[in-house]
Amino acid sequence: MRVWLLDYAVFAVYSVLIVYALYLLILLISHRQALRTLRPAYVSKYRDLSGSEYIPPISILVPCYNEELTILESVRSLLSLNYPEYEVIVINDGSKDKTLRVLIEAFGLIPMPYEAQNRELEARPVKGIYHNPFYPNFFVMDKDNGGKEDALNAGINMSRYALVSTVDADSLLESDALLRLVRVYMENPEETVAIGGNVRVANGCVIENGQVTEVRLPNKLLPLFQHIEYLRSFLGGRIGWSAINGLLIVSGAFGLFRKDTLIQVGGYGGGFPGEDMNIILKLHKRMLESGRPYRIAFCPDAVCWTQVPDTLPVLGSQRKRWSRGNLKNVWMFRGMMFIPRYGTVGLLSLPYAFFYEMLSPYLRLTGYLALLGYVLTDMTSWRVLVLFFLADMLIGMLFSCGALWIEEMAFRRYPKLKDLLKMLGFSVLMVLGYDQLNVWWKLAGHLDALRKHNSWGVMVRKSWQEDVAGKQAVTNQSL
Amino acid sequence: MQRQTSEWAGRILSGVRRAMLGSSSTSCGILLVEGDWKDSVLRALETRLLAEDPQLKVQFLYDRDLGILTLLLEGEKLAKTHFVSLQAKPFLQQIRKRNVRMAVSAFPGYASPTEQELWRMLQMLLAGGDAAEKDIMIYAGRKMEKKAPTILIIDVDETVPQFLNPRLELQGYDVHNACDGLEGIRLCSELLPDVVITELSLPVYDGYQVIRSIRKNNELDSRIMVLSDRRLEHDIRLCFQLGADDFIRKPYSPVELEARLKRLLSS
Amino acid sequence: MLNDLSSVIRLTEGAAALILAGAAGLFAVKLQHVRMNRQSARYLQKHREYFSYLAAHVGGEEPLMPPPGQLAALEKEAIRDKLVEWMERIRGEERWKLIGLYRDMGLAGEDMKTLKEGLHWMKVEAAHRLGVLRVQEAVPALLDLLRKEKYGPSLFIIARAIAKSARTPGVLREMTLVIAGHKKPCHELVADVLHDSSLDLTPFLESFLDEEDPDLQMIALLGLRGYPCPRLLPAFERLLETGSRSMRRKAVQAALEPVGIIHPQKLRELSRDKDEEIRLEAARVMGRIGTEDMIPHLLGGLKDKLWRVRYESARSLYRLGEAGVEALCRTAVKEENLPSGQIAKNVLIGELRISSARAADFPEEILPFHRCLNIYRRYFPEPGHKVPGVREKAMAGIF
Repeated sequence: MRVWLLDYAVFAVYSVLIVYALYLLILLISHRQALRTLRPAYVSKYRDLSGSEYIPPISILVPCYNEELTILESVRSLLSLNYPEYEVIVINDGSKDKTLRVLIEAFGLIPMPYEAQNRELEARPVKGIYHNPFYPNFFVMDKDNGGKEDALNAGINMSRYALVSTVDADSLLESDALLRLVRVYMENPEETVAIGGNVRVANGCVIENGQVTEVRLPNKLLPLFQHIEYLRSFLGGRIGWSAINGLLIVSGAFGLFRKDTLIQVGGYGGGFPGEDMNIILKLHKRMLESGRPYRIAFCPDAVCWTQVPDTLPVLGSQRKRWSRGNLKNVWMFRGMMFIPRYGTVGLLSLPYAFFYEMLSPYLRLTGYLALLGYVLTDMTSWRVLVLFFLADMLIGMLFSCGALWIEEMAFRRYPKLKDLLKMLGFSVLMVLGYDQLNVWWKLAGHLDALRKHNSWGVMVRKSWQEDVAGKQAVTNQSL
Repeated sequence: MQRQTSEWAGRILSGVRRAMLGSSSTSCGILLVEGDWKDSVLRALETRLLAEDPQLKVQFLYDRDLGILTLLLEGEKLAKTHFVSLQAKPFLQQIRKRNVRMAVSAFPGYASPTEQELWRMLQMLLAGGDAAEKDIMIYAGRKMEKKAPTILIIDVDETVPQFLNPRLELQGYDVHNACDGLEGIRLCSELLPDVVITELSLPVYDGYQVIRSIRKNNELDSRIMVLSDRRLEHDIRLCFQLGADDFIRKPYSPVELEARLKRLLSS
Repeated sequence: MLNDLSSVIRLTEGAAALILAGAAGLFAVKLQHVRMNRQSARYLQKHREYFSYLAAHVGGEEPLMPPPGQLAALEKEAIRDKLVEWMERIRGEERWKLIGLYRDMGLAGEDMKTLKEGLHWMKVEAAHRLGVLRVQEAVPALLDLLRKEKYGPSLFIIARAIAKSARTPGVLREMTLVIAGHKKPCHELVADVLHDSSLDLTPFLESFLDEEDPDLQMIALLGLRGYPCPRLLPAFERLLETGSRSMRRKAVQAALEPVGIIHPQKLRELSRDKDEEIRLEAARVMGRIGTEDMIPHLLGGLKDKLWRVRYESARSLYRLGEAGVEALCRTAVKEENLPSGQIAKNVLIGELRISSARAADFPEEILPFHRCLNIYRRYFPEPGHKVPGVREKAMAGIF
């Protein structure tokens, strides 16, 4: 019995290790890509493209629900992007607060007629369109509540241009972010169907008038952990996956799509969270089945800043939601797994997601339980438990380290030495509890999914000003 | 004090005249440095300057009572004099361990400097204590006497004012900067500038809002010049429709910008 | 079983060693970067007055002197980067003066050396700088680098540098052929890069029109956009006939903007094309350059099966002025229950509202707006249609 427990623990470790090995490979690919291609691209300033007549126009879609506190600042920052021709469509998804009124008052919007028949995608009814010719490229769509995917579909119906960019209502785009995304598109407009931007954690940064004026690490614990997580995921993971065309997700907070392929796959849908992964999987499937060459890319120098949860309940709710979404997405596209026709996505990305998202939490949990049982039956072997725990920790740290390397070599957004020390230090702390907490949330998310739970959970909206008020007060005092 | 300075000015003037008579040069650079300096320091400075440029003809005139060191550079014009001040400054700062302030000017030979001008230059040197940035001040002669037109430059890119401010100030303009639309509009109503040079992509309120706001404000009679990297026809058309007076594309020619600026100011 | 444990132990040790090495290395690298940044900032502060000197006197007749004193390597780099920043933003004589200064400081020579000998990313950065400098001598080395470069963003950075520095069209041609050799549909990007050149593009682009390669033809079409060049027409026709769907779309877009080379007859054909994007583009353009004889075709567009084409046709009709508005009103009344009538009505109301608000800003639009409003009121006299006249309370802006 004892032997079996230990054997199982070892088996669990090895299975998890295979997944980690793949991740390590991706990390290495990301690293190489970052150094070779991305550094010069990052440094070059895009002055040349900014006024160009060859840049395709873009429709920016901003779905929002109950965002009365932050929507004005987001819209203002979107309206002052450095981009030759674009329109901004805010889709008010039946907010119960004053979101719509705030926008109408601030921009002096007047109602416009709108008929929705024969639009290409299905969506809940539109109640009205608002516009002010003083802001010729800004529109607000008011519609019945239908969820984020429904809002995006309605937005696509209304959009004028062939490229569509989805932006969250609390995303703060850097002024050249859209230019950088579109540069990737222009390198191959026929084959590129979607491009994801880089999402960075804004907590702790100094934000003035919808722009991040000073980049700083978050002060609170949870945002700091998430910051490292995002680095791991975006820099360590997505760069590599993008290089082998196995990207499974383009962040809903900031992404660019070709409208015609979006419509071909029937737009957003599913009725469960994780619509950003869902649409990408749909696109992959469609393009792979059509046999045409295509690519779904990630552009790490196109940056969007977003606020992340800083309390456990909100964070937990978000992670459970993500886990639910992942589970449902992987299940929905399980038919693609291990089939060569579906290329990298079928052979690598989906299986990886399956093992990493679905199986590994169970393996880890049961592995530890088995170990615990093993140790309980023989107290002298407590060292074994420590050994396994140590191995687990170190591997987690390895990935954080790898991501920090890429950040330092190619991007260097956090200029202070103590920032690095803080990040290294906290990556140690992360593996001592935060990663485990995430495993727990993943499991809870699965449970929720099985219970057919489809809501979006709670996200307490804080005003941007409120969150950084402390920071700004300090900055002002020091002047 | 008045008598002292006029004596000093007289001495400088005769120095300048002597210098210009002696050589056949038609210009003379004048560099004023404030502070107390030992003779040995002055010798060392002279050696240093001559080492870097053996052709340089420099006269040292030190007035210990006033605490003003004057360097006369025979045959040199403004840019070279300015450059010499750049060479002298670190040397002197090293010795004094504090910021050293200087005033730079150059006078063409056919109109030798008047006492009044020297006096103004001295004033400029001794006065400006507010801007810690400006250690070396340039006195550009009679152009600066008239009431200086006010120019407001609104751009989020800091290299634009970095490049434009010194040259516009040299021309005698009073230049102010804003880095977003909101600050720009605020400064407009405060300063009532003669010309506003604005970019279009600005944070908070973009350039179009700025133009609109200026045109709606009846107290403001500013000329508006748009300096932007937007090249599309409809952007340009909208600017003029909203009331802008001129449009220059980036990358811009500074010569062209100044010429158009002059034209706007004279209209 | 013990073996299992020992491999786990080895794994742990390996990971620990890697992490320690990685963290130490990271720390060292970061320290170096921080030091370099601080030092660079200090150097720029030190030379603050020097840059003021440059800005003040670059327009004068006197030559610009390089910064006084001996410069450390990092100091030179900091000054170099700032100079490049400035040179990117201006043009004309003064930029040439700064370029002269850059050369006098030996920086151009150093960049040429890096171009040949540095690490890959350093080469690309040097190429970028040499492009800003428009250094003609760098062109052969740049072309070399271009030929060896893989397809990606760096390729275009080098290409831009070549475009800026080229003094003969042959160089541009060579560069275009290299990029076209990658067989990627990046025509717009290439056209944009070519426009960075100060040379006259027309002759060599026109030569592309005769090439077999449709990619080259497309680049020519895009590059010559806006030039009323009669030879564009046959190339355009060819691409329209034989090209893939995306090529056809690009060709139509290139040909229709900004100055149409298309004969109105062709425009009408395009408005009935099988590809909806082309119909859309045609409908848009008809409103811009169209005359009243476009009206029947736009009316046809109102019946298109795709909503977007109907919408753009209606908007274009409005743009044609009173005749177009009249046509819209008629359709709105006669085909009230059909999609064509509905879109006509909605666009009428929407555009009238927009024009009303615009007239408050642009007084020259008041009269045309009122004429259109009167036509509308003739067909729809009921007051319930809520199209405010200009006198009515102007909509609040922020000001």
